[in-house]
Amino acid sequence: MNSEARRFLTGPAERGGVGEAVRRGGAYGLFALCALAAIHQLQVVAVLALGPEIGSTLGAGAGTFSFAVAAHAVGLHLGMLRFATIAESQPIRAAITARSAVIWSFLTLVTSFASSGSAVIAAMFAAGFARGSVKALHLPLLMDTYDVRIRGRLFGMWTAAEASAIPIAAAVVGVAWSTGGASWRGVLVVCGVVSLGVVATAERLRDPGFGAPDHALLRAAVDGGADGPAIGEETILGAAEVRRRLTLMPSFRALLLAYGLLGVFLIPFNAFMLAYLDRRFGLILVGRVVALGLMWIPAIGAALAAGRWLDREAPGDVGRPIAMAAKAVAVAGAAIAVGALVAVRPITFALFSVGLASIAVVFPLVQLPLLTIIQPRQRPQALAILHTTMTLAGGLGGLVILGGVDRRIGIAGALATLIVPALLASRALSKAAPLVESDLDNLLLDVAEDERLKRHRAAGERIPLLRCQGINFAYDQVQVLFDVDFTVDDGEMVALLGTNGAGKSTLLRVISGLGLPSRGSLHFRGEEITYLDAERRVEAGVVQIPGGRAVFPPLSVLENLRVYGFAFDRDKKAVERGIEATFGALPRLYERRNQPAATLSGGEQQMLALAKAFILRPRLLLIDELSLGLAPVIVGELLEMVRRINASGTAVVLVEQSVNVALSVVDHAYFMERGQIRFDGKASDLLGRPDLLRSVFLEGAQAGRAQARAGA
Amino acid sequence: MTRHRVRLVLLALAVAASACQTDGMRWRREDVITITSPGLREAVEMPVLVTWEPSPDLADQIAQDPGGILYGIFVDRAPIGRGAQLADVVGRNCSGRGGCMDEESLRDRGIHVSAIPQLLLADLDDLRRRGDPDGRDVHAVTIVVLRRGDDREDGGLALERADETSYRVEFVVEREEEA
Repeated sequence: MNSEARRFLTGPAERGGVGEAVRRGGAYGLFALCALAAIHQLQVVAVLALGPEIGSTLGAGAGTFSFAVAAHAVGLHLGMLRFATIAESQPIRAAITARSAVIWSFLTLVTSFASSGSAVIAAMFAAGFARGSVKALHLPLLMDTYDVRIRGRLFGMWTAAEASAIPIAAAVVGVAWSTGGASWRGVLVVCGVVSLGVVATAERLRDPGFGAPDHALLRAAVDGGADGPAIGEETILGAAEVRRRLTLMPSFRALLLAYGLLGVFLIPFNAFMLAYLDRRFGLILVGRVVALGLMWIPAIGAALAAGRWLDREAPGDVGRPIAMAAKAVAVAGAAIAVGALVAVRPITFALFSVGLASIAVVFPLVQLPLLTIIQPRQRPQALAILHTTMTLAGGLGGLVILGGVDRRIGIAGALATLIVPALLASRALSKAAPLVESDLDNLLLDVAEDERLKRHRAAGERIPLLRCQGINFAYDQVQVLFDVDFTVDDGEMVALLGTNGAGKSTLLRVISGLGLPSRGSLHFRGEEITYLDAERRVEAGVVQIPGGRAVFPPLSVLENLRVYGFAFDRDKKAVERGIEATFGALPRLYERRNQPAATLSGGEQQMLALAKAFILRPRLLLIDELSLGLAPVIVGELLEMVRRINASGTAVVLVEQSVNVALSVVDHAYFMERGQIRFDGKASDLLGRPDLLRSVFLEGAQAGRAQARAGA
Repeated sequence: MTRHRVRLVLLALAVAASACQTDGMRWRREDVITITSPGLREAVEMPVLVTWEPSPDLADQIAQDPGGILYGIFVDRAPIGRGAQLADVVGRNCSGRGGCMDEESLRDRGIHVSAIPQLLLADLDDLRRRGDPDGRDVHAVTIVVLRRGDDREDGGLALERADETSYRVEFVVEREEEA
């Protein structure tokens, strides 16, 4: 299935006609998104070009307008993150895109009425925030609207539209200023009106829903036909959960580093290039912006060519485009360095154009493979995080460094030194390329598992309460779990046995959400919970009682019980009812209700910890080392409690080192050794496996001898 | 974002926009002043003579109200905003200095006031090290029209920027290398 799905997801080798595929998805969406991308820079370019003029009018210094452009960049990235978060839970990306475009266009118009530098800064920040929708939402919308086979060309077209934003803005500003005789206010009015006119055409944008093309193809790949039931509702992760999930992907982490380095290269280049054109060639105000616009024109063709290449050459191979992007970054760095040092106008302009064209191809080449291996709802977050890292981390760092270099060796030398971060970014992209391949495999495994469970559920078949598949987990660089499969049925009581350090407690942490796996998936009641926060898992019905004394020692018994209740249920009456039920079942706790938990005996403390199950009534209770350090009589009482909890319908996973204790209450047992499941079967069968149990007994015997020696 | 929220945002923006002062805003560039020398980015030697020509309308106004309309020349600094007074730059609390709206105080701040369309800049800071790492001594001069208001209580001049048009020129000072 994997190779089939991989082929589908990354685009089949046969090249589809772009015209027909676009018509099928509706040409309007592509047109509208490209139009917005093409005019979204009008305000920024106008302010960049006319900053000194605006300053002279408003009595503000040049620094004010550097600050305005920086405020725009900060707003842009905050907006990206915010819109990506909003767009995760509901398919409202199109509505956000269209309305935020109206807002940033309106703000462009409003900027023309500014009566102070701070008003310009505020307008730029707000408009930047609204423009966050362009970079965060456009590409995910395109991916969900059109056929997988033309994604490369779609990315190429959109990037070309975005690359045309500077030439278009330069043309509008240039014409309004030079030919129309407009003041800076007049130029901004023209920009605002043009912008509002274009964004009005995007009003009819509609969101196609999340991942429809991907799901259809994966469904086909799973069953060999696309006529099966639709994939059910997926688990919606919160913004923090998505960020954690993304940063667990090795390829995403590698690309974060690459984007940070790209920021060190690109952001200072954009900022210092204008100063370079001024200092070396005497281009100021509108003149240098027009020169910049002309230099961007070849980038439009390059982006279109990159899109065609993606569809023609890259299907089935998600690493290759990123490796190609690595080469493009190196070319861009070299062209810019040589161009800056040569300082002969036609040669420098030509080399800067080559640099900009190379930069323009980097983004479709990286973003298409990356977004392919990310779940559709999470794509805006991925783009927002990458761009924010590039601009706010890499970019700001780069500006500081390059500012220092500029002061020491001049602007040409400073631009030439950008080849260093360019080569480093190129290297980081090369390293990310193979990782994308393995992350795609992981995604396909997860999706296939998810699909299988949903089909079983749709067909009315019994599905396990908990299913962990292929779980890998590491503490930093130390891998602790290796490809662990673990299943618990509804109402079942399962023992998880093994030696010290076998990974039992770690597996419980992964199930309860205290640790996130680096590979593999977890499904609870058929829903994927792999990356859900621990709190949401408790709400879903997964509760863990950690090893040791899982109580708050200074709090009284009653307070401990209330803490369990109030942590996840604000309904005071429900909590009090749960406490009453607990005291009914465990009269000894009632007797001790006002005592601090620290003063309870070991067995009573474990009893109090187990009371969590009475308050929260979980579907799955994970108990770590129930019997540790307790007398057999006490253990017997606790086991009786566990039996009662299980009999009430709660499935229980009992992690134990004591084989006798565990196997006396369960039918199903797992045995772990060195992070792997070595046995999965009936408890009685495990008793017939001395090869496995010997290690536990030996360990127990050694511990016993050590205790005896200590006693002597 | 809900439709309701979008409407609220648009309403807030409209209110914010209506708070802007629109009178006196210039939507087209008007050549009330034309700087005749130095040329844009021209290389010059010290001292630098900056000259300009008023438009016929402005020249008429000056002729009708001698001393009522003056030129404010801002060297290597942003000019005051429209409607602002020069006193805002030097500070209103000038007691003890015999009034600070004098020529010297203004000049110290890069501000010159002239009744005639020219100004000789005899002394300009060398910005080669401070401003331009590539070693050029680039200066900027911005000229605005000032209108004299009622005399101020502290004896200083109440000079207010008349409108928002301004005229800017940058030039490069060529200096002999110091030994």
